[in-house]
Amino acid sequence: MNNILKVNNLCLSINSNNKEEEILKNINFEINKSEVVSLIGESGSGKSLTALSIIRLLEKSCCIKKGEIIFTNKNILKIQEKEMREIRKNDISMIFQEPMRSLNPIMNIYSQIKESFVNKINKNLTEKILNLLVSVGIHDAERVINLYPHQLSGGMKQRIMIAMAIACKPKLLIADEPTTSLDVTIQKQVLDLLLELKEKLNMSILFITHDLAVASQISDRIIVMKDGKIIENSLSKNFFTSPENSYSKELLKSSVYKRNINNSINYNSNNILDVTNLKVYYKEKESFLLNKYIYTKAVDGINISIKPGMTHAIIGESGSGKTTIAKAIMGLTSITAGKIKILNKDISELNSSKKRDFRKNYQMIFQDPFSSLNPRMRIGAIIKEGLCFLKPEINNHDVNLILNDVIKNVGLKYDSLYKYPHEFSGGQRQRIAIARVLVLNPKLLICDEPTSSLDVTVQEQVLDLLSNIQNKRNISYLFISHDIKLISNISDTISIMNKGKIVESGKTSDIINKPENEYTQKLLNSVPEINRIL
Amino acid sequence: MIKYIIKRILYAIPILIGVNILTFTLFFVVNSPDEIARLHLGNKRVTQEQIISWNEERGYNNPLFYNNSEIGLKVFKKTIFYEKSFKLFLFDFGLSDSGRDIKYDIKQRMWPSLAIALPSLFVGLFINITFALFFVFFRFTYVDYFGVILCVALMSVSSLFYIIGGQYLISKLLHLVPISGYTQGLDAIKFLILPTIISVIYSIGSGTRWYRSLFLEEIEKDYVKTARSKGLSEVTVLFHHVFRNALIPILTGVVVILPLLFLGSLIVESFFGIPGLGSYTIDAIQSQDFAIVRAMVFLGSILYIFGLILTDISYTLVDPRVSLK
Amino acid sequence: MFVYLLTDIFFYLIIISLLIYILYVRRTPDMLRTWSYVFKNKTGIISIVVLSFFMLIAFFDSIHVKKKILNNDTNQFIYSNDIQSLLDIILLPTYENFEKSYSSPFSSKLYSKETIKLKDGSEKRIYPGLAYKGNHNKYSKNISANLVITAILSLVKSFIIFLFFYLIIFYRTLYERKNNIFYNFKNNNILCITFYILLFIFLLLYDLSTQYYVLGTDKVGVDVLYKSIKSIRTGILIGTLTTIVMLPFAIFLGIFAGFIGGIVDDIIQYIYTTLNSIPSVLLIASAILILQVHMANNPLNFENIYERADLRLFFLCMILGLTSWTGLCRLLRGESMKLREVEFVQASQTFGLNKFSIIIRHIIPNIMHIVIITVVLDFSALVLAEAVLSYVNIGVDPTTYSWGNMINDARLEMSREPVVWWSLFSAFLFMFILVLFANLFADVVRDAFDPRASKKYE
Repeated sequence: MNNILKVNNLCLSINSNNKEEEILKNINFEINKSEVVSLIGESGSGKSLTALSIIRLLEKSCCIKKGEIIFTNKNILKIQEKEMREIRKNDISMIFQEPMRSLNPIMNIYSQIKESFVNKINKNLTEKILNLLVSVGIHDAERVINLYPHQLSGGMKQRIMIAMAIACKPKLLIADEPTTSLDVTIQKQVLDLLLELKEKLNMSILFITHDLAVASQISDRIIVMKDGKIIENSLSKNFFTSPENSYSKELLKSSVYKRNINNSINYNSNNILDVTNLKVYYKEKESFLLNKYIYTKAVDGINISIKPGMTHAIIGESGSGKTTIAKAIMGLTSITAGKIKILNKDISELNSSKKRDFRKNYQMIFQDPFSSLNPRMRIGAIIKEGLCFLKPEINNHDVNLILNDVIKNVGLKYDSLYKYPHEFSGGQRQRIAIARVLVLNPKLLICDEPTSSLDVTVQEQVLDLLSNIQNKRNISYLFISHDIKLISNISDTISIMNKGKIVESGKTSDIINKPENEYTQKLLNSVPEINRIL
Repeated sequence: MIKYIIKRILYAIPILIGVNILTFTLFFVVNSPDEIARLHLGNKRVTQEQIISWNEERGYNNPLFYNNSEIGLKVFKKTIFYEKSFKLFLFDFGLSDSGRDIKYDIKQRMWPSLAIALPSLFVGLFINITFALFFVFFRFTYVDYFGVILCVALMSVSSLFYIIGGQYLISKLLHLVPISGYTQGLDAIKFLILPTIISVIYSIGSGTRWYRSLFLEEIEKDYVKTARSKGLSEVTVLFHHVFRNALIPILTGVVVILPLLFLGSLIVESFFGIPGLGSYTIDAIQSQDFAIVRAMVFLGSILYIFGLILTDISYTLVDPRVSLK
Repeated sequence: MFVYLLTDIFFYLIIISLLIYILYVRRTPDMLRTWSYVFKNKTGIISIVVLSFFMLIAFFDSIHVKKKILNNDTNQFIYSNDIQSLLDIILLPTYENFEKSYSSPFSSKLYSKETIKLKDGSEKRIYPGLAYKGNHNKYSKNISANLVITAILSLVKSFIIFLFFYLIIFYRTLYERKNNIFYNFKNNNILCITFYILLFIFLLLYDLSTQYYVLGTDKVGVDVLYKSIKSIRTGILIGTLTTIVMLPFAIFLGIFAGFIGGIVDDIIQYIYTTLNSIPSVLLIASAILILQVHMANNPLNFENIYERADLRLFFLCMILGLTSWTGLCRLLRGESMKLREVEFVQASQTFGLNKFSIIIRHIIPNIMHIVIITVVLDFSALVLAEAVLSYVNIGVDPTTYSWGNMINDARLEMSREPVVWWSLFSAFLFMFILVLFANLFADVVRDAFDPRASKKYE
C-alpha cells in the first residue's frame, strides 16, 4: 500500500432549482506517498469539486451520489464530522485560489496561524510560528505576524496560506489553483516553495490548475479532466511527450499557440499609432484645505509606434499601467501629458464632433467578456450600437446586411442576433465583442487581455479569429497582456512595462531571445515552460 | 485623528445650515406668522389686535430677514431669522409657543427617554443576534425556514398593535406592571419594563432577519472555508470568524443611532406616559407648538451628524482595514 | 355620473403603468425570465393572488359616482352630494343602515345595557336587540346551523364561479400554451387553490354580512367589516402613490449624481444628506403641520368633505414621497457609479455615445432591479407608517376610512369595561394580511432580481 489517497467511482451532483445535475462522473484516481499529482482541466470540468470532496467542504447543494474516498485506509465519506475535523487538523490541508479572500481580514497573521496549531502543545508557540514563516520564505517574520492581511502583497498572503496549511505537517496538501491570481515572477517563487516543502515534509500534493505549463513544472503525474470525467491519467514524462487522449493533445497544442504570420507588414509605411511621452497621473487631494495633491504615476512617459498590419504587444505585471495606456488612447481617462497620434492626427486636437467621427478608426476589445456586453440588450442591438452612432448615414437595410455578414465572420449563427448575452459562453461573447468593433472597420484595434479569462482551447480559437481578421483586413493590433508565452507567439514588436515605464522594447524575437534589461530577464526566467521533462 | 474629527465637524456645518434654512422656509415662509397666530387663536372672529399681541409675546412680530426700523447690526439681529433660526446654532432654543423654556424642558426630558431607549437597544441587540446566530447555525433547515417566516410575520404587525396588545395583556389582564406613568429614581423601573419589552419584541422581526442575512453573507466568504479546512469546529468558525466579521456592520449600525436615542421613541413614550423627548415632540405636534418642533428638528440633525462622526471613528477601532484619512 | 377624485386619477395612472410594465415584461425575454421565478415560487404566486385581490378592491373603491336622485320640490333629477364608489354599491347591504352603538361580532344585541320603557310602562335595563341584523337568520333558526348552511352555500357558489373562471382562463394556459414559462402545472394548482379560497372567503363574508355584523359595529353603529374593507384603498394608495412621487427624484438625481459626478454629485449628495439628517418623523410632521395651517387658512373651494379628505390624503402621499427619496437615491448613485466603470459602458463611450444616450440605453435598464426591489419593500413599510402617522394626528383626515384611524379610536375602546376589542382586531387583521403578503412578495421579488441575495434564502 503505497498510496495515501484513493478515489473510487466518485459521482457528485448539484441540486439547483429542484433540478439535479451530474457534475462528477465516476472519478477514479490515487495519490502515492510524496507524489505531486496535477489535476488539469478547463473551467467547469469539476476539478475543484473533486478537491473539495476530498476535504469534505462541499456546499450544501452538492451531493455525493456514490463512490468512496479512501485516505490512509479510512473512507472519508463515511466517517463522522468530528473525525473529519481531526483529519483536516492533522493530515489534509488545503490552499485556495484567492489569497486575498482566503484570509480573515480582521484577524492578524499571528492569530490566524495560531488556529492551525489548536490542540497541540502551546509551549513556544510564537517561536514555532516564526520558524514556520521563515520556512515559507518570509524573512522578517517578527514584523509580519502582527500585520493584517490587507497590509501584505498577494504573494505574501499566499505564503501565509501555505504556512497555515503545512503547520500541521500534513500528509496531503491540496492546492486549488494557488498561483493563478499571482504575477509570473511571484508564481515561480510559490511553485519553487511548494516543491521545496514537499521534499522537506515528505508530503503528497494534489495540485489543481488549468495551466499545463505550471503543471509541468511541479508534477509527477498528470490527470486531465473534462466534463466531470477523467480522460487521461499518466506520468508527467509520458504525458508531455506522447499524450494518449485527443483532448490532451489539443490542450498541449493550445498552450503553445502559433499564429499565421502576417507577411504583408510594410515597415516603411506611415505609423498608424504614435504615442509620444504619454503620462497619466492620478491626483488625489492631500488635505482638503491646502491645494496640495498626491500624484500616482500610472503611466509615466511612454512611447509606442505601430505600423499598419502589425501587432504590438505591451507586457507587464498587474499594476504596471498597461490598461491605463489603452484607456488613455481610447479617451476613457484624461492624460496628463504627451501626444497620441492616430493615422497622423493628434486626437487631442480634434474637436468633439470630429473626434467622434474619427473614433471608427480605432476601437477596443475589453478583457472580461462577461461585463463588456450589456446583459439587457440583444446581441443585434449590441453590435449595431457603434454602427448607428458612428456611421448614421448607413440605412437600415445595409445595417442588417452588415450584421449578417459580421456575425458569420466571427463564426456565430445568424439567430444569435436575437439572443441575449447570458445565452453565450465566454468565448462566444468575446466573438460578439470582436464583431461589435469589426462592423466599424477600424484601422487599429486595442486588445486588452482579450483571452485571459478564457480556457486555453477557446483562447486558441479567439486568437485564430483575430489573426485571420488581421490578415484579411490589415488591421494593426495593440495587444495588452501579462502572458509572455502567448505574446511571444503572436506579436511582431513588444514593449515590456514595469511601474508605469517601458523598460525595454523592440522586435519580439530579439527581446525574447536576448533580453537586455534586468527586469525582462527576471520576467522571462519566471515563465513556466513545458520543458522540464522534455 | 483630531484633525479628522475637526474636518468632519467643518463638513457638518453646511448641512446644519441647510437644515436650518429648510425649517425656516417651512415654518416662516410658507405660512406667515400671522396665519399661524390665527390658527392658534381659533380661526373665526380673530381681531388683528389679538394676532399682533400673540405675535409680539412670542417674538414673531419682527421682519423675516432685514429690519428697516433698526440701525447697525440690529438690522440683522432684530429679525425672525436671527432670533428663531440662527440662535439655534448657539443652542439657544428660546421659549415654546406656550411660553416654556425649551432648553430646560429638553434637559429634563432626555433622561427618561434614554432610560427606555438604551435598555431596549441593547437587550434587543442581544436577543436579535442570539436568534440570528441560532438560525444561521441551523441554516437551510426547517428551523431556519420557519424562523424566517416567523420574522416576516412579526415584521408585518403594526407597532401600535404591539403596544396596545402588550398593555392589555400584561397590565390589564395579568396586572404585572402599571399601564403607564413614570416616577423619579429607581421606582421608575416598574414603569420601564413594559415599554422596554414591547420595543424589544417589535425589533425582533426585522432585526433578526437583518442580522441573519449579515451572518449568511459572511459565512459564504472564502476565509470561512479556510478556517474550516484548518479543522476548526462549526461553533468556533461561527464565533471566531463569522461573528466577528459581521459584528463590524452591526456595531457601526448601532453607533450611528446612539446619539438619536436621546430623542426617544415617539409612540412608545406617548402610549406609556413617559415624560421623555418623544412624548414632548408628539405633544408639540398635536398642539401645533412650532417652536418646539423646530428645536427638535435641529437637535435631531445635530445628533444624527454626531452619530455619523462616531460611526466613522468606531470603524477605525473595529476594522483594521480602515484608517482615518 | 362619474366623479374623479384626485387620488382616483393617480390610482388609475398606477394601474395603467402597472399594465404597461406587464406588457413590457412579456415582450422582454430576460425580464420574463426574472419574473417567472416569482411566478414559479409558491410564496410568490400566493402573494400575487392575494395582493391582486386587494388591488382589485382598491380599484373598485376608486371608481366614484354621484347618484341621481329625484328632488321632490322641483320634481327634477339632480345629483346628490354624496359620492359613492363602485365598492360601496357592491357592499351596500353591509352599511346601508346604522345601529345605535357598539355590538360585538355575530351578536344580536347591543353591547351595553339601556333603559327601555316596556309596554306596561315599567322601565327595565336590558341589552336592546339590534335593529337591522343579527336576528334575521336566513336559512335556519339555530345560529350555528345557519352559519354552517351559509358556509356550505358559499362553498358551492364560489365553486361554480371558480369553475367558470377556470374554464375560461386556466384551461387555455393548461392545454394550449404549455410552453408559457409563466405557468407550469404545479403552480397552476396553487394559483387555483388560492383564488378559490379568496373567492370563498369573499362570498361567505358577503352572505354573512347580510345577516350579521361579522366584525361587530363601532361607536356609532357602523359595520366594522365595512370600515376595514374601505380602509384597503387608503393603505394601498399610500403604499403606491408615495413611491410614484418618490421615483422620479430618486432615479434622476441618483443617476446624475453617480454617472456625471463632479459638482453635480456634490450638490445632490449635499441635498440628500441634509434631508436625511432630519429625523424622518419630524420632517414629515413639520411638513404636514405646515400644510394643515395652509389649508386651514386658505380654504379652497371644496365641493364636499370627500374632496377635502381626498386632497389631504393626496398631500400626505406627496409629503411622504418627497421625504423618502433619499434612501433609494443613495443606492442608485452607488450603482451608477459602479456601472460607470463597467466595461460595456466604457465600450459605448469608445463609440462616442453621449452621456444621455448611455444613461438611457445602459444605466437605466441595469438599475431597474434596484428600483423594483425598493418599491416592493417600501410598500409594506408605508402601509404600517400610515397607522402611526394617523395616530399622531398627522396622517389621513379623521373622516377618511383608514386602519390608522381605526386603531386610534380603538385606543379608547380598549380602556372600556368590558373591552371593545373587535375594532382593533379587524384593523390589525386586515393590515396584517396585506403587509404580510406584501413582505413575502417583496422577499421573492428580491430573490428574483438580486441573484446574490437569492443564494441566501434558497
